[in-house]
Amino acid sequence: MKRCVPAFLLLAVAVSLASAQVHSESKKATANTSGVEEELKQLEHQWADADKNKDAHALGQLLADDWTFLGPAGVENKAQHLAGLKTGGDKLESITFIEMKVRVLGNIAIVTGREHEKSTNQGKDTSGDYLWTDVFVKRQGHWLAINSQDTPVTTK
Amino acid sequence: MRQTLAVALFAAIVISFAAGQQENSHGKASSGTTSLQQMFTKLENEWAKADNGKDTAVLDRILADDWIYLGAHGTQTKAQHLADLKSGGGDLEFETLADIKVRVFGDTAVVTGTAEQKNSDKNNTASGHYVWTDVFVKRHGQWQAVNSQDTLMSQN
Repeated sequence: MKRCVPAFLLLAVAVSLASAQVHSESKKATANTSGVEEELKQLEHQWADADKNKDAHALGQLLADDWTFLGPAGVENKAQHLAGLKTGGDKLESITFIEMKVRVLGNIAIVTGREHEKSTNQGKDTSGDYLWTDVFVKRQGHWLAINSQDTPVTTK
Repeated sequence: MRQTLAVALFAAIVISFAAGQQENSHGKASSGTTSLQQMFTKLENEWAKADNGKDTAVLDRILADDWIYLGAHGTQTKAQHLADLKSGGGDLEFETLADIKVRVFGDTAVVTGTAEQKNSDKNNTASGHYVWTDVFVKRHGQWQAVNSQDTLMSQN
């Protein structure tokens, strides 16, 4: 019986330690996910600022070289998009994020949202609500967008 | 020596596994990439056919439970989308997919393309030429869509 007590105690200590470890890792995972979410939301705000200021250099740092954009005007690659930012007739006056949701799947993150923007294209008013999805991949420690899509919201 | 060999073997297995997890999107077209391209092309056409035939059983298999759709009328969850389809929200006369491009990042795939649609549903979804993105995740050996967005092109 005496020999059973230390064994039981050892088992209890082991279970307790394992439980604390799991709890700690779970808390760490939650904190990490939350940190990643904040980081990606911050990137979305930087992106909006770069669009507003037509800052192709800042935007270029957020987009992977194999980035693809899909929108009402069709499909663009990174080079076409950055060239269009400098020379195109798009003008973004303001942008307000209404919703933003981040889903992290390992080295991939899907960020979806809804925004209200005040904008013109070739002088034509393109203001309104837009729904969008940005897919990011983590490469060499940095999140880079690899795919983006915008859809203007219309009333039924 | 045996220990060294065991360590070397373990390292080789780890490196090989890590290499297998790497992005497979923009390297040379390997047989794996080609078969994934074919598999996703088939899956997308199966999805279009299920939409057309209102086959909610097939859609239930293709869409992950946390799937989100973003379109001109707003966002939908899987449950909302399937219910909408059953109640006449997705009367699709035809849909022809084209330009399907697949990029695989480990257990995530980003599939983009265009679609010619003729809709006659109660939501007055516009007919015309669309661009779309579907993001798939491999879970328990099965690829399921977790995010989808489509955009009507403005040059219609």
